[in-house]
Amino acid sequence: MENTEKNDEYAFGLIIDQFDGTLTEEGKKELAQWLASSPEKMKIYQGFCDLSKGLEDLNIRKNLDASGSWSVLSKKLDDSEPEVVLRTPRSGNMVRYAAAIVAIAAAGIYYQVYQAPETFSTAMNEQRSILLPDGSSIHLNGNTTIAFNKHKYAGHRTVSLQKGEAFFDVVHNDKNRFVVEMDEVHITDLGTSFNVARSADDINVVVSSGVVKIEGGKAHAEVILPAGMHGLYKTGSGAVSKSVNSNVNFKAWVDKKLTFNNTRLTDVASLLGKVYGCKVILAQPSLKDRILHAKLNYADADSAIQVIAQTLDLKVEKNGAQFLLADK
Amino acid sequence: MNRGSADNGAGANDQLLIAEIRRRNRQVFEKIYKQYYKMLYMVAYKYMLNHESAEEIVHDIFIRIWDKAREIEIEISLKGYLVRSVANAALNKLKKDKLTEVKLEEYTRLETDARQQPADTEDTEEWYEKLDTALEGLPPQCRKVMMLSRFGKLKQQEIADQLGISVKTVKNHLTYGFNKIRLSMNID
Repeated sequence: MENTEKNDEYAFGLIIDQFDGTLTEEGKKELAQWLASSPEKMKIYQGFCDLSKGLEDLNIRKNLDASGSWSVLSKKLDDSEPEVVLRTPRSGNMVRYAAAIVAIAAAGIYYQVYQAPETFSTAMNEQRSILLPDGSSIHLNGNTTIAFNKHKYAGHRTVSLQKGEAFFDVVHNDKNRFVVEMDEVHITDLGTSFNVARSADDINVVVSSGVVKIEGGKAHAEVILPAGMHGLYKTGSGAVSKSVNSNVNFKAWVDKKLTFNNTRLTDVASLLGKVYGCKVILAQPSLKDRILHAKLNYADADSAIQVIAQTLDLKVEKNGAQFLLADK
Repeated sequence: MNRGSADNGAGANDQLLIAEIRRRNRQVFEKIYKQYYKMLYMVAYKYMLNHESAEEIVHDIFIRIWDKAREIEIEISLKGYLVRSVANAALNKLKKDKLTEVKLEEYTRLETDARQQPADTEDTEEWYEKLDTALEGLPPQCRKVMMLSRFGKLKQQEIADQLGISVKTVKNHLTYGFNKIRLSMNID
């Protein structure tokens, strides 16, 4: 066993020499032998190659500046914009009247069909993203309903959150503020991304970037929330309060970035359940108090739970969307 | 399965986006540009292997879309359309620059790769983020050696000279670093 590991380590050195272009003839033979020793080795080799390429690309990507590049393109677009030429229509009046009548009829049908606000809902373990016409986006967590009027949206950026949880990433526009309506409570974006969770009892707002304003409630209070703050509206009392946000994982359900700072495993399990829509069960009661210290960023539950199991030296059993963590 | 990506109903969203571009909505256009810029740049870069040309190709595609939005037909997805446009533009530019046969063959292979790319570009973004995190997670000296090797493209001897350590130590750092990142990327 130990011998295999030593062999592997030696082979990794050969692969790296190959990347450098300094692999000797002797080394080439040794590498080929190692590769032939099991199909697993080929996969490892492929992994090294992908990484080598990936790291080179990473360096290029890290130096790219999308905003700077956009500024240059934006200028090019301005320069190439054709001048608007106004022309007097030469066609006869009859043609124009006919066209107008058709347009009015079409508008009528259009009005009836499209003027109603559109509702978007998600099921229990479903998530969904909606891109709004202005480029802003809304991520809906499970069991959530929002509505907005697509056809008034351009002049009136209002979305109503009827229930559940949503993360808003808003393209800011000073002249046309983005508003989240929840009956008597309104949240106005002042340049921002933020998370809103609405239940029957309260509304929780956490600001990820920029600033938002919460207005309304019984006292018609106005609370300004900058990034990193948490606003709480109590439906019963109608009061709005604010405090520093202590929940680092408030938007983990959107970006799957989880930070555990000396977190009890029982809390980890419940959060994983919420983020990935799965169920994590601890086999022994003693596991509840095991402490996890980790930063995770995995698209699916399987990888996240595997890593946690490895870190805490546990074994995982998977059964559908259910994971069982147990002592080895 | 339960991912926060915007891929569900991308078709409808893409149509909405195109409609906005046709209405010359600059905000939406900017958002799209910033969303796809890095990925498209990398596609162009793989062909052109120089910054100016890659940047120019991406710009030209977006200028064309802005000017000719009405004529654009998107069959599958906006992303797929963009990647294909960039790959084709790069290929045409290379052909114009009179390539040797051998090189062209190589680029045709790249083109196939580029065509396969759209399906997982969102994952690609995530993959690089993860790679960056893994790299940042290495011990400082090891990370420095990895960066000099992969980013700076220095050979082991050159790294040893620069840091005043032995070639053997450099190799140990590289072996450890590569393997550590590989394991945390779940590539095996």
